[in-house]
Amino acid sequence: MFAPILLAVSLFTRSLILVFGLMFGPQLAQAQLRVDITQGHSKPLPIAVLDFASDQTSVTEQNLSRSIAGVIRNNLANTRLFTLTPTETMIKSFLALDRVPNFENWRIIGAQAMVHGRVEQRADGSISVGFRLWDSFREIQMHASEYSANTSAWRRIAHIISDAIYSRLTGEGAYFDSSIVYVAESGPADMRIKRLAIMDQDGANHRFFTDGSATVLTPRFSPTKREITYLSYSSGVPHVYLYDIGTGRREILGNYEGITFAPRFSPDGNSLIFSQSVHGNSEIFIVNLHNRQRRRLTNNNAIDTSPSFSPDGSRVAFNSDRGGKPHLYVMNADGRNPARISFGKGAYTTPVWSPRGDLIAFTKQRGGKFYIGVMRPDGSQERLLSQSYLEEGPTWSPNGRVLMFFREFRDGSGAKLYSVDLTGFNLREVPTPGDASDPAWSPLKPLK
Amino acid sequence: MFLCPGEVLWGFAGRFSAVIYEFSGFDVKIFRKNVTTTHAFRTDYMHMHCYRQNIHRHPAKTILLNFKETIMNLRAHWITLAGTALVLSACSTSPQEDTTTDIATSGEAHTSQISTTSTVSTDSSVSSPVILPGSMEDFTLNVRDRVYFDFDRYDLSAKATETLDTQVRWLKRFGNVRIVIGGHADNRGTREYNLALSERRAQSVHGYMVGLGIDPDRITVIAYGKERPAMIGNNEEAWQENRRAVTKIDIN
Repeated sequence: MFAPILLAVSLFTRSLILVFGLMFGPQLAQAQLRVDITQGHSKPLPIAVLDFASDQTSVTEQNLSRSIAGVIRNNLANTRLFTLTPTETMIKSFLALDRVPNFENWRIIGAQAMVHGRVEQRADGSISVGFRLWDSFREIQMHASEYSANTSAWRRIAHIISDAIYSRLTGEGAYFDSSIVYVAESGPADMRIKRLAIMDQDGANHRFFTDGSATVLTPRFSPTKREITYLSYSSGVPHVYLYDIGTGRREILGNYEGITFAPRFSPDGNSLIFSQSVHGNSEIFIVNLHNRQRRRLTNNNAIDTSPSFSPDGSRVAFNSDRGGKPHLYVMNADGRNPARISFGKGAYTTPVWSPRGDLIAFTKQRGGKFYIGVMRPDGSQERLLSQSYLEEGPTWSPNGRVLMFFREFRDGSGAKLYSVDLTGFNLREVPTPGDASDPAWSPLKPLK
Repeated sequence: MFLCPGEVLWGFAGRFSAVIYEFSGFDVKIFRKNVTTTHAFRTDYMHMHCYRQNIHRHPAKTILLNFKETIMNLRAHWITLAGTALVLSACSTSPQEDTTTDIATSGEAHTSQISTTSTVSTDSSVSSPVILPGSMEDFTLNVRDRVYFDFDRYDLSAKATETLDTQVRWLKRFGNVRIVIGGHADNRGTREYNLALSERRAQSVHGYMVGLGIDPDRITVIAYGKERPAMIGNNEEAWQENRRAVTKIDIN
């Protein structure tokens, strides 16, 4: 009937995950099942995600199955691009991975796409998780893979499978297998305790990096290493620091005069771009992280801050009030040809270049309100995605489809993280254990 | 340890000092400008720096952490320096003994300064002996410690320069005192821009003082952005209160 072909795709991460593709015939048809995510209000795609283990398997496998399917369902549902078929309406909640679904059963309950899988625990304590994604109307397999890893990595496998389903059905890049670093807040408003914290994109695996003895702000991930740059008041005066997630080692960027702030990595991870303010004049500098050689990119009496590299590293967007009010500017990476790109009414700050390069996200302030918006790098096609009493600091999902930022509230209740699709739809609070600000989205975790 | 009568509680909402009058409960009694007001003790008062009478500084935490434990069932009555009676009964250590010890080790406690100053006791009702000239308490009580700015501005108003003139006069009198100028912004701006703006504000004060002859080596500038509001609130009054540069005695 069909012959499974095992494809070794790649070997990944230090936790030794093996990735295989499982291919079933018949092959993909031209007209594919597809979620159009450029239209935020388009009808969500009904999808059924079955359990990954039958009730005949071990308790461990059944628990893993529940957990993995749960993470996948949660990821897909949070996008609001999909509606998950309730398991109660399914004729069966498990289908062996080597069986072809009876598509008629899935069409009846409206599931246009259907996912089934298998989790197996091996003698050495590792697990193997395979899954298939089907188009139940065209009766074709759209994707199949199998992953092996330490049991402790089950959550990452669930995110990677979610990414595969999302990417296959939307045509967009992956983003579920990523982390958020942010500033966890507590205490009274005039003496906030601020700690660096990290969590998975869906809020799991939450932990703190700093103890709160010094105020920390504006963390950002390195694009290439498990490293973070951020601002800390630990010396009393605000300065830029580097933090190695693996070793926990902390290091001040340099012994610089005045204050240093607003750090971001360059796309190759070799340099850091940041602001230094001395005698009331903040300028943008770039420093090579290997030899610590520093170069000034702006030379202007105005405030120049919040630099952000274009993903190809050729240009830098930044914030300046050289025109009288805070506006967005773009210059070459060597500081030449600075040009203003925002011309709307109000103040524009915190430009952040999309990982796809096509857009710059920003914070806009006008008429007592704050907005999160995007514009093309030439300043055209400004679109506002969200507005409230106070919101700022957008950060892009690795695929450039979702923005996260934080809000504060007029009633004084604590700051919270929010995300919104590039379409302006699916605005939702990102749950954190306590108050939260200054989110930064990591790149996709590496598959080695 | 409890708050002792006679201890100076400094930086009440950043605006004035208070001396503990009585420690017996959970209300905060403030006597200021001849008006007594009673406030419920708020947890956000916790960060206030606390100074023992006649003594140099006491980190607020020491005292206030103990407060945390007792806050739920105690009532504290505080009164400003204008209070006439200092009730000493609740104090476990003698303020007199502490005074002797700390003054002996304090570089700022020169008798010559005490004799030359006239800044203490500007109000006849203030009990002058508790304030050490050239100390942070002295500065806070007798010199306006902050100047205010307009939205997204860092230039000094006439009123601001008037305030800074008195600060400069004080700093010239106590030439060995180092200061920290903290620049602040309201929350109607984004974090990084406000850091830069608050640094500019602090530097405006720095530049003005240096222009009047204060040695720049005596001054440290810190930009706080919108991280340390003086007034909690989301209204014009709070925003104005928070757009400021505050001069503090450098206790390090």
